[in-house]
Amino acid sequence: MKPNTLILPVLIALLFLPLIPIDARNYLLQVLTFLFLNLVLAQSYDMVGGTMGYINLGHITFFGVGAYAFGILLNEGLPFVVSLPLAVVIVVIFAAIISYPFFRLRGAYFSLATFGLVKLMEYATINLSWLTGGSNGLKIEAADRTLQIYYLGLIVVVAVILCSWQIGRSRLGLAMKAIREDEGVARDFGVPTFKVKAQAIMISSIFPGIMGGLYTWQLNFIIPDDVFGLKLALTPIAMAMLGGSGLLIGPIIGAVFLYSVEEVIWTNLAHLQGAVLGLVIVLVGLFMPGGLARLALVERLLSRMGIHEEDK
Amino acid sequence: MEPTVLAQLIINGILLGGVYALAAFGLSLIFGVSGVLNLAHGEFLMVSGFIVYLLFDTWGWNPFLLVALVTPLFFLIGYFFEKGLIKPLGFRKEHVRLASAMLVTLGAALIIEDVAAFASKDVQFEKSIDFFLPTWVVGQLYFPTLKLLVFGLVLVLIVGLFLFLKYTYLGLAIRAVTQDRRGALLNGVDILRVNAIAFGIGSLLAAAAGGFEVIHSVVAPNIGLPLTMKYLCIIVMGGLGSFLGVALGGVIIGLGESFVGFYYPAWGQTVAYLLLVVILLVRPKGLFGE
Amino acid sequence: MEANRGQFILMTALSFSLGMLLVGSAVEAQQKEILIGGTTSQSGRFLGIVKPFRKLAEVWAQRVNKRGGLYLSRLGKSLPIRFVLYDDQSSPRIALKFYERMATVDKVNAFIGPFSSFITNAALQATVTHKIPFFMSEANDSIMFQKPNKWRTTGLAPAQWEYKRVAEFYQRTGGVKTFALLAWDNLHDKQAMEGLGDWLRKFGFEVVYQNVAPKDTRDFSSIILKIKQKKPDVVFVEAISPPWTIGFLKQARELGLNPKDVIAGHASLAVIKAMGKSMENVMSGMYSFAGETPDHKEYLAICRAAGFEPWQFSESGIRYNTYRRIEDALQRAGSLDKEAIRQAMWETNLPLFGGKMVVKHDARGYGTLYPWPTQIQGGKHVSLWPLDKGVNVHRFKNGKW
Repeated sequence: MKPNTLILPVLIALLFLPLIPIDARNYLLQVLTFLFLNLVLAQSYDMVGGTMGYINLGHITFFGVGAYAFGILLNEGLPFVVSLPLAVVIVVIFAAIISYPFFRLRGAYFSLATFGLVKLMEYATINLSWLTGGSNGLKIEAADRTLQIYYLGLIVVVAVILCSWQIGRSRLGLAMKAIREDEGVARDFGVPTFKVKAQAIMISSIFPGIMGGLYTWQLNFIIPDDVFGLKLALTPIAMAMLGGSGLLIGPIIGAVFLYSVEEVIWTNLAHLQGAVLGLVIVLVGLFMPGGLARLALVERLLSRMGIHEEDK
Repeated sequence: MEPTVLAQLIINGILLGGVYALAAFGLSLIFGVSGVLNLAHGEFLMVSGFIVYLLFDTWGWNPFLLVALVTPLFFLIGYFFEKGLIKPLGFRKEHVRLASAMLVTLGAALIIEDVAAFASKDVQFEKSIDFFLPTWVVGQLYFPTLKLLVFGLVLVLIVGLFLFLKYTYLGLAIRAVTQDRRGALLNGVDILRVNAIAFGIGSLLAAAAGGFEVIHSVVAPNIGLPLTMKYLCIIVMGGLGSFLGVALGGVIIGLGESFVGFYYPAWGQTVAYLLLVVILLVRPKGLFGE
Repeated sequence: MEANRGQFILMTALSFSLGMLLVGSAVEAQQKEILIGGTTSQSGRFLGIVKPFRKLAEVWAQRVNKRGGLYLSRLGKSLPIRFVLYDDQSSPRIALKFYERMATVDKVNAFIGPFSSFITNAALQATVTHKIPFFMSEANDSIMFQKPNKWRTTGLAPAQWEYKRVAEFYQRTGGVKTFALLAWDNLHDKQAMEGLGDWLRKFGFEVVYQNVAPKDTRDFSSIILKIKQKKPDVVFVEAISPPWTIGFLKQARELGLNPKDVIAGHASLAVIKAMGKSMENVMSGMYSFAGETPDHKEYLAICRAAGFEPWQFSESGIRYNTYRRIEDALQRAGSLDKEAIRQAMWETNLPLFGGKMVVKHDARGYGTLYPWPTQIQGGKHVSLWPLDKGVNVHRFKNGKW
């Protein structure tokens, strides 16, 4: 897949958007920033979930740990430029630690274990209140940082897409796909499966970690329920599957589509937003297990736009 | 610790385990037979409680009678749920099937939860039936009657299901499908029907648990998913596909929550998830899994 | 490929400008009416507590407009008032988004707060950014008052004062010595419980148990067992979530916890229905008290028009307090100038309910409203205030479920 005609205009538009002097600028930026958040979560999830075939339902824990680590470090007096990278380091270490026990499991068991991890982390955050503030939440210095966060978020989006793309072309990516197809065979052929899996999950944890820190920075105040919440945990995964798990463009399409649907619904429909989200997810599961990107119609459209991807 | 307190904690734990086991059975059966983690299981429980509450509020009949009337309906609901949403997933590749089924049942769960919340607009969000069976007290020990009934039901179920699986054709079919789907197919078992029936039975059990919950505690539209997650912990602990395992898993978690909740209320709810992670790491097949 | 590039750049530019138009185009209606923006939880976990409040706001606005609207002296005319209310889905993140939208797209003149401190705290961001006065509603927890913020005030007294009158009641009534306190693990409930604990100790009572339990707790057996060991005279359970309270009360009954008195912090309609006659003589609190003043009548009228009795959704008393604050501040400001409204908001000195309650703010932005004690008699809340008049008589529960 090569970079193409659409990417540049979109990128330019997004870069210069904040300069347009309208009243609703903040609102628009926030809407887009939350889109970036979902997109990054979906894309980074898909590294492990799509490329490697391990459905990590606990992906959100990286986000939550990043959010809290950043907030705690910031409150300790460390400046932003130290807190954020340090928080990401903590997240990656966390990913490394859990990879050893959790990757001994496969398939449904792995998914279940990671699902349980979400709740565990939520409770741990609530109960270790001396560190995290517990159910009182964690507060940082308040300020309006919408503009900075928008640009930082945009950078992370570009970074995660580039990273995914690079993985797809690398040896690591090949090993991950081999594991997805048949782990036993891969191992027999000398692929160091454990190392590969650990690397994959650590890389996939960087991006939600950064977004977690930015989330805290934007809202100034986080509670466990918010950052380890079920809806935020499952929506990006649904987006990745909706768009086409395993394809680079999949999570992007899924995130943009589902988020737009949600936005339109939230603003215009007074009730039943959750039901509509649920309906979309059901339809994806039933009719498009390959996701939107693998629909013949969409494939044609994409290749006309110059985006063509080998679907192994 | 005083012996009465210790004894009461044990009683509480075991009875709580029984309550958990009732709904967890259904989930275990569904997973064992059709290989699907039904994330909408807790929603069936919730809807059953909802309906029983509505009927009680309107007609005022005896709650047990209402539960007995409503629960069988859910066999049909589960049956058609499977036919409509799960069967179409067909014989996809293993992990694709699992992912699709999770998506479908999750989406269904979100829909059911939201519709129930919407339907509660003119009723009441939290539903709880005003009905009290006086507790059976022996000396200083309290045996909540309703929980005893559920525990008894669970015991009956274990025995009944055991006999059913061993001596009836359908039971054998279910066991066959649980052990080896393709083998069963080759032996002429109508897998599609077996899947649907397993879903029906599983949902019926969830509905029974919902009946208990609305009489004993509270049912609200948002209890579905958290409960489903807890039941997942239990069936994994017990071993997917083993009923004795589920009962034991439930009791272990019940006892865990009882004791931890006594000393450290804040950590009481964490027990189930901790045990889930521990068991998956130490013995993924669960205590009695095959 | 070349032609395509041109096409796509054009398409992108077009779609973005279209988007801008849609977002940027708000009807300039603000001169013709007073717009108050807010969110209520029409879904999510707070739904059960605030369900009718959207309707309540609309009903109140209707009545104000029927009386001719609000007179703004500097504009020399009366304007009708209208609420713009979105559903925050009980989520802070979504609330923030909508408050931003209301500030810039809907162009509201002032904000009314959502339910709960967490959501309010997120919403306050939009206030600071766009300098729009914020009339907080059900939010009084310390996190929001740690740093000064001149754009917001609440009508409520600090959370720790929530049960002060209940403590005073027992000081007056006597007959009990020891208290057991249990709260839902939640900022507000914890602070309310801690406050009660402090007031009780100040009045010479002994608190033998004071603890917090997780929000997901469905089985209270162990907690009840612990409390039983301490043999308290009074048991207090505080949870803004009705299912939690119901679960605790039902199991307390089941496991033989029979204290002299039971205080259920938020005994909403759901709790009363669930407990039936076991609810008789349970103590609680309401954000209003009995009376016949014009304010009482108005409050009763709007609740009934929205389809409920005040005691069924007690926080409606806070809402009424907030509406009156908004009305009063606007009239004193005399215009729609945000700074004028803000200043008027801080200078509020409004007697309500025949002067028995004065709405004003301290330097931090707290207000003066906190609950009056009630008791469930005959299946509904009966006000036990004023204490010296003894309008309704308190009866001890004496362990009778």
